Amino acid sequence: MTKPFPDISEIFIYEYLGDKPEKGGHQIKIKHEELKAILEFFYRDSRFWCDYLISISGQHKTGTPEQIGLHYHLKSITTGIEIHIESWKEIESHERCSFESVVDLWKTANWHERETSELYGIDFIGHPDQRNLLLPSNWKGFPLRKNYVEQEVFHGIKVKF
Amino acid sequence: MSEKTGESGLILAKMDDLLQWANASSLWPLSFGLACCAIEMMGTYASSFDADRFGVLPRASPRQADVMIVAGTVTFKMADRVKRLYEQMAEPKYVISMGSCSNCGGPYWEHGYHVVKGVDRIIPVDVYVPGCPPRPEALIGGILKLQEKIKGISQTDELPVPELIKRNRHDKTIS
Repeated sequence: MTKPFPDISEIFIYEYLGDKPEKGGHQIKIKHEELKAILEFFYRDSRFWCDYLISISGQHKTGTPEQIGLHYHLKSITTGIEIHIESWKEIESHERCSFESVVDLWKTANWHERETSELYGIDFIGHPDQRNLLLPSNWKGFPLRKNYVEQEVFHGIKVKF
Repeated sequence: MSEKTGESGLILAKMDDLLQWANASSLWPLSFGLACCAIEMMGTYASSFDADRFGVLPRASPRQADVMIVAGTVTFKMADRVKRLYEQMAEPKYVISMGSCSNCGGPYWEHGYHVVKGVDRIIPVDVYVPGCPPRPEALIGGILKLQEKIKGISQTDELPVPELIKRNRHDKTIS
């Protein structure tokens, strides 16, 4: 079998997954530089064939350094495999950070990424339409970060009770 | 009347009473709901509770509506729209705030970064209906309270209007 992505060897994947892919789920943690390539591998490789992206979730950790994490839940309708991939990146406090978009692999990722983007302050590079999905377009701050500070006033309305 | 007396069919009444009666008996609400309170509101309109008995029948356009029932959580994104819909309604217009969320923020009062803590911060409210969500009986109670209030407001003269109602209807600034 030809390897579509020469930078990710089979050994590399099996190191993460154990002996062989099974039904029932795996959990792997990978570096953010490799994230897109590994997701694409799981999408294209016929042994995994993860044609269904269940969800993309964000996570924020305070402390030094602050970290932003992404959780991808993949499922294969064909082979029944479920994989949970997480990836972390160090960020500057109250600053946006960036990850690569996976909209070109799964169309589902479009809205998932828009939502994660506005709530955690993540730029998804390569996303076709990165407007806010839920929040108003001129919202300040990222509400689901641990150190989020509410605005005093929004459109002339006091925010606090 | 003419049959009874055999004389002219003339009724003497105050213009105010007629207008108040007309206003209070045809409270057409603007047809929109924001959250779970809207389900109870729909229940109120539907046949079990039949709000049509009180002349309450939802209209799809703010131009034809007399009362706005704010049924549910008002988010900051929705606040601009609610304000605009209120401004599009023709006078005289009234607002019923239905449920804890639109009264004061409800369960979102502390950590709801996205919720307006009471719809009275954007538009003046005539009647507050408590509950989470209020039962249809409670909303009907609110509608009856509003009718009482309308019957106390002079439609032709500004003078007899109680100070509180006047402030609520005309002078409340949008902060």
